[in-house]
Amino acid sequence: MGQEELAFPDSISFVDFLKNQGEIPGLQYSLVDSYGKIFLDSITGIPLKNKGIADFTTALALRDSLFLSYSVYSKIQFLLYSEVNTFEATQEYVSNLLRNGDINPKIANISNGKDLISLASRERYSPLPSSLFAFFGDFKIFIIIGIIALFFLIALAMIFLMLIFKAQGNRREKLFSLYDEQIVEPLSEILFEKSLQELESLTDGELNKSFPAKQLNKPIYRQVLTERILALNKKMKGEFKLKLKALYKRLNLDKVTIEKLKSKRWDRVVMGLVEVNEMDLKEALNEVNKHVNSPNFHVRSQAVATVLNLSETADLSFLRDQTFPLSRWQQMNYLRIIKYLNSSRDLHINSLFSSHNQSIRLFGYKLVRILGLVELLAELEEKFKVISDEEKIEIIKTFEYLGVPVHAEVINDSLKSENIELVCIAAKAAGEIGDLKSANIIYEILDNAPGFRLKMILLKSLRNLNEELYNQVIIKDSNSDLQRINKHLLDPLLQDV
Amino acid sequence: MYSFLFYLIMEVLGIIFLFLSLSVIVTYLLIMILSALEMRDHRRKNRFADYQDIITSPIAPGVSILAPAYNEEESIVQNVKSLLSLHYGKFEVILINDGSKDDTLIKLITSFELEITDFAYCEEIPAQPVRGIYKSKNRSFNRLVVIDKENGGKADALNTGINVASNELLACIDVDCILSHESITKMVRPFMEETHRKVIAVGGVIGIANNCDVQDGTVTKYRVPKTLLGRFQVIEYCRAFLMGRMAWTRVNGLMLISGAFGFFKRDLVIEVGGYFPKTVGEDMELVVRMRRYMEDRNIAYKVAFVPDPLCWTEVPEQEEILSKQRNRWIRGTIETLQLHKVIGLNSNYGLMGLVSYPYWSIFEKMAPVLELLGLLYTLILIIIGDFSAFYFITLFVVLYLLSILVSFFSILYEQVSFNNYKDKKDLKKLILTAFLEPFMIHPKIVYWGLGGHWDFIKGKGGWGNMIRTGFKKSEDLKNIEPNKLNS
Repeated sequence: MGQEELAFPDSISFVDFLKNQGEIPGLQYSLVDSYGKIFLDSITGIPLKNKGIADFTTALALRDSLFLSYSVYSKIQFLLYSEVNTFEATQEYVSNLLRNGDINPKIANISNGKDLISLASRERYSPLPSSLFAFFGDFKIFIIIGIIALFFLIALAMIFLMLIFKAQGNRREKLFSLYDEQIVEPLSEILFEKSLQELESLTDGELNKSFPAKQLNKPIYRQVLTERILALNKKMKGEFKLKLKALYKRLNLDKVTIEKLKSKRWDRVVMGLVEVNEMDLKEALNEVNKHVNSPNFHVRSQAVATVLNLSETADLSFLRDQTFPLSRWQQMNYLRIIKYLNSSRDLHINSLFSSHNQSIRLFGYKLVRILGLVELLAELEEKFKVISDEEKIEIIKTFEYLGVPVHAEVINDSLKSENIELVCIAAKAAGEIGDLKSANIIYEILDNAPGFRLKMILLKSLRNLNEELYNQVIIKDSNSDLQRINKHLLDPLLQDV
Repeated sequence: MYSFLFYLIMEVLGIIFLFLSLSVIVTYLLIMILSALEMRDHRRKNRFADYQDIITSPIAPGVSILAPAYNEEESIVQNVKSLLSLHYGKFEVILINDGSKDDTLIKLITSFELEITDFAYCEEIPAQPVRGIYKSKNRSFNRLVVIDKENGGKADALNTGINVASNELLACIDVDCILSHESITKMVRPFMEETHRKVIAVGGVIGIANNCDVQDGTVTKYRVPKTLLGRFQVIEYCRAFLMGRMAWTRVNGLMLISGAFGFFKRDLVIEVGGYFPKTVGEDMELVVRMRRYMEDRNIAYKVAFVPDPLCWTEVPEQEEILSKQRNRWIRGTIETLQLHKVIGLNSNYGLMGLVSYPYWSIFEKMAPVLELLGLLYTLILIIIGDFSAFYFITLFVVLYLLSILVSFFSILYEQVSFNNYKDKKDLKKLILTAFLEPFMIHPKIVYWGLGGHWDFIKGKGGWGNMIRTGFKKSEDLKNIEPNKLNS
């Protein structure tokens, strides 16, 4: 047991403590002779039988008086809860009481004549460093201080960052409007007062009078100028567009654009791709091609759109080989470009049908439908037997949309499918491009009481194909669903619902 | 023995409150960081998006806008006209009159030249009976479908609308919301963009229109509301929408899409059985059910969120109305979490089970109760004389600072992202509100939340009783201003 745990370093200090302290809970004393016999009341005059002596000083005084009066030697015995115990056990017991705070040690009167050093030696020993760690010993306060520190640091850092962003944003806004004002006038002057030849023959010095070289080195100025030129390019036509593109190159903005394509930040790459696309920078096509299969959705989308737009030779075979699924957003963007290019060059749209990527095959079928490529329908019919239901649905939609009635067999086969979605689409298409056989199949399906939505589609198609058969169904079956659907189909206000 | 137990409980409670305080702080810090990252990506993406194509593209999905209405005769015509003028190619507006007791239906019939049709209504999701489905003779209004039905509450009205809807996407809105012209195009984008996961729902921000200028369906000039309660809600909306939901979107853990403005995949909504009409938290409940459906089938999915300001509404500035709203919100949360308790801490439900659900349980549902317990704990400590003023003051200061810093961050966040409140006076007012909120508003919010718990225990509006009291705002107003509504 170390000193830290035992309150008394030696027996002297313990005895001194007992003298000072007086009564201690649970501790009593008795006097015994050399044979271990307890002194009786009649000898000592003090009731010792049951309770013992409560105070150590009293016990000492009694022992001394026994010796002086009767010359009897006696020993003090320690009773812990009336049980006899050894000196060491008593010392430990009192130490525990002290440590647990169950008793408060009485401080000896300072005016007892002893010097300070000897008084200090009576103080309990405690190592100096422990007071340093007392703060950390209380885990609750440690956690609280930790939380405060963590929270303040991160929260303040984030707020500080936000303030920086805000200040930067305000500064950028001011610079944007300032540079915009500086740019508008010379830009209008060049566009409206100079011909394309004049623009191309301008020396660097002349150009720098309008767009100072010092300003052109500033990224925000370049950005404002680029955005202005791009915005005007979108709105203008003919020679104005050519002038804007020539100016873009004369101001070396094309080099900045190509640099952006090499950036590690995806948003800068996309911005570069947008600029390449808008300003027809065909010299950047090699760099653009590197991004066609980028794992980043936005980079990939813009790169494909740019290649489609700028390359004079590229067809859709590069799109066919893409491994990433094509989202509807991408399809929408590509459709706009393909729609525009399809009239001027052969894009080999049918190459998409053989892609390993289902989303690209589906896009191919949609293109046939939206662009009205009737010449590719036979190819689609050929593929029909070996493709998934999802693709069949897309092809049937195409057949229906283009309204070519030669594909009724495909529709009739699909009407017998177990896939309800396919049956619904086929039933809908049957109304437009089906034949008599389709009407009979529909009639049979109606006999098997299909779900409400399918029933409605079937009846609508049957009415288109064969009104006589339709009337037979309605008259034959008084099923309330059929009667309600009939009323719906006859209601002129619901023709488009 | 009892004394020992008492002290043991107090000691354990002390440690629990300490760790709760720690987790609140860590959670808010995480929310701040995640939302900032998500907003950065959103702004970058938005720089290159051209929304013009969606309006006319044949590849873009069709949208059915579902707008339930109950006793809205004063504004219904203007609201429907506003909805019909949205910029999108393929959409229909389905107005569901949920048994209004005023002239809502008559006003619609006369203003839009409506006639009852023989629409073959198919009840794919059970709902209250339909009295009639109306279409206009005028081709200018051919996008409009009006359903007249028996009163059944908002969720029931939406279910009827879902049964009639014919498009791929459902836009469930409050009819009195102001929608930006580009709201559909922007909300549809996440559905079209995803390549590897199915986007099942998209939530949008609800802006506060009190005291703002509105022109052509868009808020043109932002001003903070005049009352402290209104301004508090501006900060709260910034925290909840811009920060909270953006952070949850970052980790695909969003469990709530506001009922006032949310887009859903129709086929999935029907598959899961539509809105649950017996809860007051039908918006959250539907999202959780849709997510459970996807998790149970191991289908990759996403619940997206668009932070652009696209929808605005007037928030209640009277304490009576706000208290009822908060009471309902907490009941809705409790009901939803109780209904779906199987997902709590269940690793089969991934992030939703292990993070989102516990978060909602502790920081949203139990927040008022825990705050009350904290208060009681402090009082007991004071009574028994075991109260450490140092601990109390330190914790109090930390939490007060946390509240202010989070509010400041959300205001700054709004400023950096959208900068809607340009007037410096407005900003000063918001900052002052952030200082006052913990003392002047928050105790009330806690009290109203506790009221929600109490009402839930009493069984008010739980899924044991059918709610037939119409819509939230109307219901609240009816209770407060019956004479005004009757007149």
